[in-house]
Amino acid sequence: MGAAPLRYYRDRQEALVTRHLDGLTLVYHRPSGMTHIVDSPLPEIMAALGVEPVEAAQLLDRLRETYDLGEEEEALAGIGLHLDSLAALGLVRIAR
Amino acid sequence: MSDDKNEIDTDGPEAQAEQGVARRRLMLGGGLAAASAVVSIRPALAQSAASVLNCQIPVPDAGRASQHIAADGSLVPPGTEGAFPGSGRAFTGQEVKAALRGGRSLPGTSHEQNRAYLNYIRRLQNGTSGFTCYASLQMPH
Amino acid sequence: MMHALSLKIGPARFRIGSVWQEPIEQLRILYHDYPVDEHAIADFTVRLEPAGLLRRWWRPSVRIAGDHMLPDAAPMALRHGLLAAEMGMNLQMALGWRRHLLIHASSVEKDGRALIMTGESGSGKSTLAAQLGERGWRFMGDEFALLDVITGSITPFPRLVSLKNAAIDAMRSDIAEPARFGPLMKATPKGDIRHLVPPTDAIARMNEPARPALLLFPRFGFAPDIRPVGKGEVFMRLTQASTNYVALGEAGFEALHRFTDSVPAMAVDYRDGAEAIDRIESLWGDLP
Repeated sequence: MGAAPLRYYRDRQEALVTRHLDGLTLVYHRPSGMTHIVDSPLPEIMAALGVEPVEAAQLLDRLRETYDLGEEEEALAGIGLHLDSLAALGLVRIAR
Repeated sequence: MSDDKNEIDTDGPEAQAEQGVARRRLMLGGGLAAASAVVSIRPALAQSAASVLNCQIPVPDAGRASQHIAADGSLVPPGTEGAFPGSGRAFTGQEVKAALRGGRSLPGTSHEQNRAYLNYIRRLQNGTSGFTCYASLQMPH
Repeated sequence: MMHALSLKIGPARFRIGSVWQEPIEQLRILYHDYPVDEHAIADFTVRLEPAGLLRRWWRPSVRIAGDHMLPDAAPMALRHGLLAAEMGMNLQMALGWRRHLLIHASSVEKDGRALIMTGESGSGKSTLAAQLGERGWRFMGDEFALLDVITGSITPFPRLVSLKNAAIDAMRSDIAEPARFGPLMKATPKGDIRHLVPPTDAIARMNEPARPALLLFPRFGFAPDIRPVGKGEVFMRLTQASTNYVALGEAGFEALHRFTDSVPAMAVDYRDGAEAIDRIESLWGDLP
């Protein structure tokens, strides 16, 4: 039996404070008190997430409406890694 | 880009292409790119505050002054073969930094003794005398 | 503590206590122009204590103690007691001050606007601030720049300037009055040190903040060069140059973002102090 793909969602609006600085995004994560300096494509990925959990492939569909994502397989692999690093920092949540 | 959609979405890729609006390329390639897209701020407290004050590292700490230091830096009973007695005086952060860089041995130590002492220092844990000083030496500044 | 002194430096009040009289007397002389209110409550206590049972008399050795302390601090010789007291005050600020975001930086003011210079020990930030203070600028501090998280202004913290090694001679030639200099302390853990009393107007106006207008990253001992520093890098470096960024939480985040977004930043490498001063005056003149 294969594992179901992970589903991701964003925290409540109040959990993050984001500010912009010269093309970079600064994120203050209130629950952890940590500050992160975040570069593209992470802010775009975070902005595309809603409160309803979605799989990485669905997230790609959403992003494709606004951005040119290039080759499909590479994009899917890449977004998976980015979502993992965001989840590890607590900036994105994984539905369980 | 493939256009499989039957309906025309005014904001979709077809419409954008018709309007001459190119969508911005979003680089999602993983690997190295994933790791470098976020920098998390690490507290600088230990480094900034410790630089304000000269710090020292006793080898070993006062509570275990009677024990000896083995070559790998662990503490062993006095008289253990190949182990060295503790240093009579604490070393300054500067001295330890220089020794860790490989330039100079810790003052008053032989080559082997220096290695044993440095290994002891590398094993310091939070709560042991000298740890904060050692931790501050690790910071980039 | 048999000997004690109350000091107010910028917004902070200290009570310095010592078992030995000499360091307190030296402090009293150097800080004689500073406002004193013996009855006001101190923000911090600094204590100069003997580092060991016999060390009060035999090879007297000072341990720096106070409300906030660092483990592993190396004791200092009594002849360096004045330096120990100054380091003790720095430590209280670094570990305990919460009313501003603290940045390891020097600052000077002109026309209501502040120039902030940040860098590691040896970058030259203290000496440059002291020299500008003798050239028509108001000296605001050499160790910590205090950023008000509500207003975004820089608040002065004009303690004694800590001059090291070559900087001592440089300032002795700039300043005629010997009374502005403390005793020469040789071979301290930080090299040869001599304290300089800030100019009279710096002390008189220690409660006047200034809007930050320019941030510099000076580096002494490098081939002359000036280059802009990107905001992302500035933000990153300032979080590392701050002793309380993390402790201030969201307020620190907002304040530092606003500061970084609104204050231009340049790296200035130099070999010669006079040349650096010229560059700085020129950069300042080019500001809108």
